[in-house]
Amino acid sequence: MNAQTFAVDTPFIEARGLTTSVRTKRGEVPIVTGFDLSVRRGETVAIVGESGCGKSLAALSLMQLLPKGRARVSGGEVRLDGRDILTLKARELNALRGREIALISQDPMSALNPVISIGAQLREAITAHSDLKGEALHARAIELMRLVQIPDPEARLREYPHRLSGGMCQRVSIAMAIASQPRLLIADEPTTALDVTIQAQVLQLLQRLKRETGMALLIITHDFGVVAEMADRVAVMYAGRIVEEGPVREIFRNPRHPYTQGLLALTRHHPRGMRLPEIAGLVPAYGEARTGCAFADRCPQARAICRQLTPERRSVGPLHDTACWLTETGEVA
Amino acid sequence: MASHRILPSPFSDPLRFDGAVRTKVTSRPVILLRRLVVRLVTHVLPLMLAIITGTFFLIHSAPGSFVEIMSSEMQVSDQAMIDRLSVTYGLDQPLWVQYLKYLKAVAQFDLGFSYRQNLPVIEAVLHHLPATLLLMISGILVALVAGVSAGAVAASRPNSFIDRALSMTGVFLFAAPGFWLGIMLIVLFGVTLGWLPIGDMRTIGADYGFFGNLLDVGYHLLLPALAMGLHQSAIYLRVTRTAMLQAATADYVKTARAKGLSEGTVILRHIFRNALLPIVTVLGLQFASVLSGSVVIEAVFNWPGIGSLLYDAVVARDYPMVLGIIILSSLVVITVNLVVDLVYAWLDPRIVLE
Repeated sequence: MNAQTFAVDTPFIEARGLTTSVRTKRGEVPIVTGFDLSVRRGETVAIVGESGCGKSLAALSLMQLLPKGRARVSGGEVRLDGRDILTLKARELNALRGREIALISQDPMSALNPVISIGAQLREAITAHSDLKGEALHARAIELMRLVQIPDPEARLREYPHRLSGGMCQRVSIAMAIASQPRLLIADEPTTALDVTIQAQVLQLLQRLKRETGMALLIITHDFGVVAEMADRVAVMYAGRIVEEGPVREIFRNPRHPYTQGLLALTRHHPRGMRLPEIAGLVPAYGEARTGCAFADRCPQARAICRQLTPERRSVGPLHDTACWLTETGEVA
Repeated sequence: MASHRILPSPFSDPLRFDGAVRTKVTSRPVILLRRLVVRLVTHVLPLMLAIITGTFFLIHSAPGSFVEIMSSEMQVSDQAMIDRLSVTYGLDQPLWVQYLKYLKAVAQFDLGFSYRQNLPVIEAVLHHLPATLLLMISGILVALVAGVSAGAVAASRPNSFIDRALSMTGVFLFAAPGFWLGIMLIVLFGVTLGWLPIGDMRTIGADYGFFGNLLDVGYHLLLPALAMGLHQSAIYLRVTRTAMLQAATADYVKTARAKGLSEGTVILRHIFRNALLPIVTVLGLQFASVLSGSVVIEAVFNWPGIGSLLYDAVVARDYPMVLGIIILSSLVVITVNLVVDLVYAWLDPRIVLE
């Protein structure tokens, strides 16, 4: 785990009250609501949650990369070094993407354009923010390929994505993402589509690059193993909200939200022959009018107030927040 | 805590376990050339044989023969003379003998002699083919330029007013037969407005010098090319719109945007480049129907292409001429499809693996 340097620095990027809505036939439905998260320089933050909880959508909102016409940020703000990104013009956004914030996607095979060579795609990432040309450009591409440990980079640059394995493609994606030395790398489920042995390699690679470049990492995952391995801080999302946030050690040692507790219970070692534990119930459907805590229906400790009022995030320890009515002793706060 | 840790992999050497699929890299021109040769042998030759055979027996099974038609036109009733003509043209021999003789001649690049035109078939066809090709290529260019750009505009604003308007226009143009569109264009631009000529390929009896004549042909070409192209453009509009909308949602487009590329670069290099694949496929598929469509357009605009030649030959049972036209135009269609095939392989590097 990395040295915990986060307390000393100011946030590099900060989302406040971010709400992201998706357009459906029945109108706009907010998927991410009241999303507050900050990432400091050089820090690794993980957003963890189950499929469909809005974690990818929230991350894409930070880069203004939501699918046009189908989703949009409908509230809140995202500040990067104090500037609100949501009000930037297209040109200003392009200057920021790749240079300040970069992205690697979940499925490395489809994240690369099938009809453009690896070399051309990598060079494009370099020239988007530099004036390198000819030999110097080629040299930089080779350097980046070496940095992500791709063997025989000269030959690989001439290849097309379908000729490379999934792990190789993910390395290429990472090389493209770090081409302009971004200050924040958003990794959206960077290992989900990969074989287990390759997963560890990619995570190690990300760790090393982060150490060498000092960039911050925002990892979106549903895997607490990845969180434990990589992150300084973790935010747990449920049904579009952050329900708990804090330093990784603290969250693992002292989870306060019943949802976090449930998730962690699932990841512990289970004796053979025993029925695997589960969190009973279903995730609420989006667009349903609801009051109170979204987790209340599945929560083993739910009280009357949980179904009436949505809990605000409150501090329960140093840098440790939770959005739950219950105190440590089971009282209503 | 320990249970959450990912164990360090014993296979962490990337050179050993995460290497790319290592195969011999063959240069792409070589792959494309190899593909061309294989296509020629496995596709083109059998296809040509089938076309020649089919056309030969079809045209011969039509009632009446060249000699009968000629003799009735000339009002010859002397049976001895008719028989002598049949012997002269080899029509007295069994059909299969005629067929084999014809095949032998074609294999030696001899398409025979036209009874009707009193010319070698190849000469007559080559004289008329350029006009048809010019019309076809202009029509396709009109269709591509109009269809692809309208499709791209429609895709940039899906479900907007402009998208709906373009789609409606497309449906109308596609539903309207080419010849009707041609007649309407003639009525509007040729008769009512009087801006453009209503037929023929050049101004009769005029000579404006080399460049002047070229301009003159272009002037005559405008209406027939529009009539053909606008009708076809609807297909390209549809295909382009769908392909671009689909490509726009791809992950690699998100990657391209995340790099900080300008919107223009994203659309041209990443979205349009991928949308080209279905457009090229349709281009190849449509080519044959453009050729048959041009026969009709030639009739409407009195265009001196192979359309009228073919019509005369069929009516007169001018067997060598019919066969010659069919063979040469099939060759054109097959060649174009071969080129499309290669272009496709060139555009999509995944193809050559299969």
